[in-house]
Formats: sequence, C-alpha cells, structure tokens
Amino acid sequence: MCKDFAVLGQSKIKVDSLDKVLGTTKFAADYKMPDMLWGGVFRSNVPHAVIKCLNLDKARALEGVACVLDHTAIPGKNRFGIIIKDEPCLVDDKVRRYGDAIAVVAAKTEELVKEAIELIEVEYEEIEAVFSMQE
Amino acid sequence: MNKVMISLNLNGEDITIEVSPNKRVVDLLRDDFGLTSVKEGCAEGECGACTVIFNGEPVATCCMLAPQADGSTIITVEGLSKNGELDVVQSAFLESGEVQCGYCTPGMILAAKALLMKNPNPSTEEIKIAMSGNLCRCTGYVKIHTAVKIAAEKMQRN
Repeated sequence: MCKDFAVLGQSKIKVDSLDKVLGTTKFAADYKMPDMLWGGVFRSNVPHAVIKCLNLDKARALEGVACVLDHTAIPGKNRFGIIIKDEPCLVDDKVRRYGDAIAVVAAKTEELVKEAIELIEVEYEEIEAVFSMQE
Repeated sequence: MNKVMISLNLNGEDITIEVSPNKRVVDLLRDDFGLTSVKEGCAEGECGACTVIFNGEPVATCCMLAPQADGSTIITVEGLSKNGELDVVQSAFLESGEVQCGYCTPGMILAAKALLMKNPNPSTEEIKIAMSGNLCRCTGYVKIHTAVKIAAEKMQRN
C-alpha cells in the first residue's frame, strides 16, 4: 500500500547517521573555544522547601569564579517545559524536588566550580513532601 | 609532576609524545589529538563510550593512564574509514538504523570491530557478550546486535 511513497513504508537511512558512524558529529563536550569556563550547578538537598536565605557572596568572592547566578539573573520567564511551560529553570518560589537547581556557577577550573558550590549557603523552610502516587 | 615520553601507533601512524603520567588516555586522544569520536560517558569504565581498540582488544580509555599506552597500537573510529570509504562495521551500523543520538555509536562500532577481528562469524550469544560493555540509552539493543550480524555477513561476502 505504501509502495508508492518515497518515504512512508520505506527503510530510510537517517540523515544524521553518516556523521555519527564516522564519529564526526559534535556533541556539547566536543566544542572547544578559547578561555572556556567550567560550569556547575548548586542543587537542593531537600525535597520540598521555601528558600529563606540564599547567600552567594562567598562563592562569588572566590578567585577564579566568573559568576554565580540564581533565578534573578534570568532575563524573561523562568519557566520551561516540553508541553506545559511551568518548570522553573532555577528555583524561585520554592524547591519542588531533591536536586532542584538553585544556582549555577562558572569558574576557571573544575575544582574551583566544586569549591564555589560548597561555599554557597542556603537556609530552607521545609514543607511536607509528597513521595508517592497514593499520597 | 615529571612528564614522560610515550610512543604508540595511533590509527596507523607512529607517534611520540610527552605526557603527564596522570593523564587519562581518553583525554590524550580527545585533547591532544582531537579525536573527539572517543566519548566520555561515565568516567568509570561502565558505559563503554570511550572504547578504543587497544592492541586488538576493546578497552575503556577513561580507566587507562597515558603511560600505559606506551608501545601500544590504538584504533579509534577516525582510523576505520579509509579515503572516505566506510569500514564494513560502520556501513552495517548505518544501514541497520542502529544510530539514534549517536553518543555511544563510536564505542559500539569499535567493540563490534574488535569482536569481528577475532571472530568473523560470531553467534548471537557471542555478539551479546562482546557488546555487553557498551551501554546505549536511546535504542534497544536489538538493532545493535543486528548491525554486528550484518557487518559479519558483509565481511564474509568480501
């Protein structure tokens, strides 16, 4: 039935496959630019909470740290999603899951990023969390 | 840390280079030689994305230090195709529709190539075992195993 179509019902080689079997496709980590920085994310270690206080000053003061940003640095709407755009890029009103992204760090080395993340101070006001469908 | 000199055959070319003894082979290949087909996935030898053919064996280069490569022969995907012509394993992966995001593909191709270099007519079980060190998070493994079968058939015909 589909014999008359050029694509439907036919086995086609994907257009991007050739570069991928040659290993020439560039993925994010394959790009190199002069003066590239390392990036990292500071994440929540509680599942549900309001952030009472977030102190980025010590992390920002560390030599070699280019910037430490929270949701206030996002121009425009701090929401994304595949269909319904309601997920915060960086936590603003409250933490919704363990590992929610609160702040991002850019620094000269991978080690400095880790160090800066450890210098970020946060105070949570925890809210009761939901862990299962039944709840 | 004192640097050390190492010599190896990389994709058919004899190379001598000075390296830090704590440099991993995956970094040597990607950063010093620009062979970015060698991917870093887990960095602990679990996923196989950084696989190369090392003295005829598939090896995870994230768990190998550069001095260990001294005197070795290493093949990456860049060394498989010759003058723009694909290796049979590459064309089998292409035709079978194995490739999805493609991040695991170079490692998969090299694991398959290493198997077929030793065993040109592997059974399905042997293919599964040989490919078990390489993880793919997009596809199932059926097409990957089919690709290796097609490659084996192509090799027999040639």
